[in-house]
Amino acid sequence: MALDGLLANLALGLSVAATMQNLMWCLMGAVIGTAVGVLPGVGPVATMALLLPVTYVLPAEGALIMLAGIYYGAQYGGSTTAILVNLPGESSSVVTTLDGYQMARQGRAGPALAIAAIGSFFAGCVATILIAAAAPPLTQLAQKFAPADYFSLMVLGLVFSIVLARGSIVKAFGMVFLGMLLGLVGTDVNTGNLRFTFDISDLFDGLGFVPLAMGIFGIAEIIANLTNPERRDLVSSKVSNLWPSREDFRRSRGPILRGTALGSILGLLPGGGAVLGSFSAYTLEKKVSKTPEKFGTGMIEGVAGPEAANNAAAQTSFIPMLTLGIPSNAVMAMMIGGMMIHGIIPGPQVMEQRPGLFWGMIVSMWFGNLMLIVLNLPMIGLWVRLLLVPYRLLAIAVLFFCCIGVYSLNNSANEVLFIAAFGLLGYLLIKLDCEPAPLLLGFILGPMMEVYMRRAMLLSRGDPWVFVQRPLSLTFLVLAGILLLLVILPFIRKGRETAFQE
Amino acid sequence: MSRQKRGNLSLREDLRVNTPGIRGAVESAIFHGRRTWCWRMQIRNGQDFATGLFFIAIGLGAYWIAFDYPMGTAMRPDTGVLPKALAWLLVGTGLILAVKSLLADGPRLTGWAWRPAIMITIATVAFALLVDRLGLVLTMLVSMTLAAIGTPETRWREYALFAVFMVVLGVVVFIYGLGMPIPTWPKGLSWR
Repeated sequence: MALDGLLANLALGLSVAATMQNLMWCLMGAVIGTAVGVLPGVGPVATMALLLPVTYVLPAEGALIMLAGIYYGAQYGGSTTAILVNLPGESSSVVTTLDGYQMARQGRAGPALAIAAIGSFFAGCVATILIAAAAPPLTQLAQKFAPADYFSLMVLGLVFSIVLARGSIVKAFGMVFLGMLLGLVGTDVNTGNLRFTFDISDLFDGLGFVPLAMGIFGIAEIIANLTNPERRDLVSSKVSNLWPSREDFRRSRGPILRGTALGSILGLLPGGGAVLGSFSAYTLEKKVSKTPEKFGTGMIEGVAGPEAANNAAAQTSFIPMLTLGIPSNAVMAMMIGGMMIHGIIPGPQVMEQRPGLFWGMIVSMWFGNLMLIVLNLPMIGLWVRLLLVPYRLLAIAVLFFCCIGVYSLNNSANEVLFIAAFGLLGYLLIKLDCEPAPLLLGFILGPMMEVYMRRAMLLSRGDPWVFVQRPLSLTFLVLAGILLLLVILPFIRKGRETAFQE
Repeated sequence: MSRQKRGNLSLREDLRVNTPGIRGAVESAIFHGRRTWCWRMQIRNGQDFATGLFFIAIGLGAYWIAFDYPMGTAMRPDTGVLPKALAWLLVGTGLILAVKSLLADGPRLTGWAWRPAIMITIATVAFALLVDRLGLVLTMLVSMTLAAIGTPETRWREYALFAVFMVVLGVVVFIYGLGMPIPTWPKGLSWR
């Protein structure tokens, strides 16, 4: 019966995703995603922020299908730059540079690219099925949640994002608090009181998510990247001999399977996502390998594992967003922004109220992965050419798109002033080595947590013990506590740092 | 500078002189309190120290603004609860960072990229202020040129070609394609 239901759902999704229009949006997302993946210094978060205003004119299905395509498309594109230029096109392909670039220097760029794409495709297919299978039970579970449970789940989500943030934990705490504080700006929905508005009427509705994300991720990155002119040492603009040998396939099979499994699990964790997946997969491959000392000299395992893992994680990180309405990383926060633009409130009710949208998006991921493998393998030469656009011009183009994108949100020039301010804030955060992702999560979750906290307190007649009396809520809080303890113990922390440094 | 003299510096001057990174000055002592006894502490992690101060400043500022927000009851928490709680949490986080920066070594603040930071900000602000008045074409030219000044890498001949391309692209995509209500050219000749 469960299988029947699944098939029926997938059939519904197919009917939505396979329309000409939605296929086109999917292709569009995949193409844009690959492009921003290939280009260093332009990430999927900033791109999605840029395109959010544009999606306003699209139907909700098309908009979300395209936005999703950008994210997993960027995972494919990122590896191209990593292998050919020794620069991570995306942060999730940092580890691919280690062995991928070495392979390219040995004239084996073709097999490296092909294995990366094939691994990503396999992982993408598995993760798509996983999402389809995991979503309904999780959604059912979520419907039993009381406000207190939601509150505690969000606490857990924020704790995850803190624990998994790169760099100092204390700073990540500060970033979450700062993000929540920024989220409170505007009118208090329960009482109508104004908070932190400084009598500026543009702030009465709160700070916009798009200007915030665009300033912190888009403008700030431009400032930071213009400071350190990058060098691009393209191995060769022509990639010959694309097909991997039988030996390559044999050696990659295990890493792809392991990477897919590991990535799928890590993608589920709030705060996880693609970056964590690829790092852990590399470490795992090194541990499993009989010749760990050879890693870094062009081992195909070091390409296959992480590339499968980052794509799997990129996709499974949709699960908490789709079923619980809780973003697990900055990209998912962006997806939630996209849903809200179309008046869809993310949460377990989406699957029931908009089944076409929900299942259409999931099936579109499979189409998207299929398109991506075609886009990335035969057409690789085209993408490599994109790398010839120098950053000094790219920066100006991105800046312009940010400005006009934010302007078009409400046709208001004042919002453009906000991105200037957030750009400076973002640059300050980069200089202080504070990762902005927890800030963005705090910004989204802060106001939601306040709503649930108030509901829970009202239901319990002012008794704060409600948060530990409900078993679900207690479980989440205990988990959060354990996580924090683990991190505070210096032993574990050292391990974490070395994992990220590798 | 003698010890006594340094002890009399205001906190702000003290930071200016003594915080690594802010002036690029060497790590040095902050003196608190009286002339007869002062304790010496080194800022061993300029980055964390600055982050700590930043969090503390934001936290205190937020508390000050939120001071009058009503707190409500436990059953109906009001507007002020979360802002004040977050303000204190930020201050606490900042204090931990500041104390930590005195105990363990870490990176200093590195130099600021003033040129791109200022020019990119001005370019963005220029776009905001001009677009409704000057229309898209002139605004783009002004804003993009300001941004181009932001990096020494700009090659002006290449930039000129690129700018023309971008303006055409901008007008075609955003005004004709997406139909955004932005004027292409300034309306009339007066600034209104």
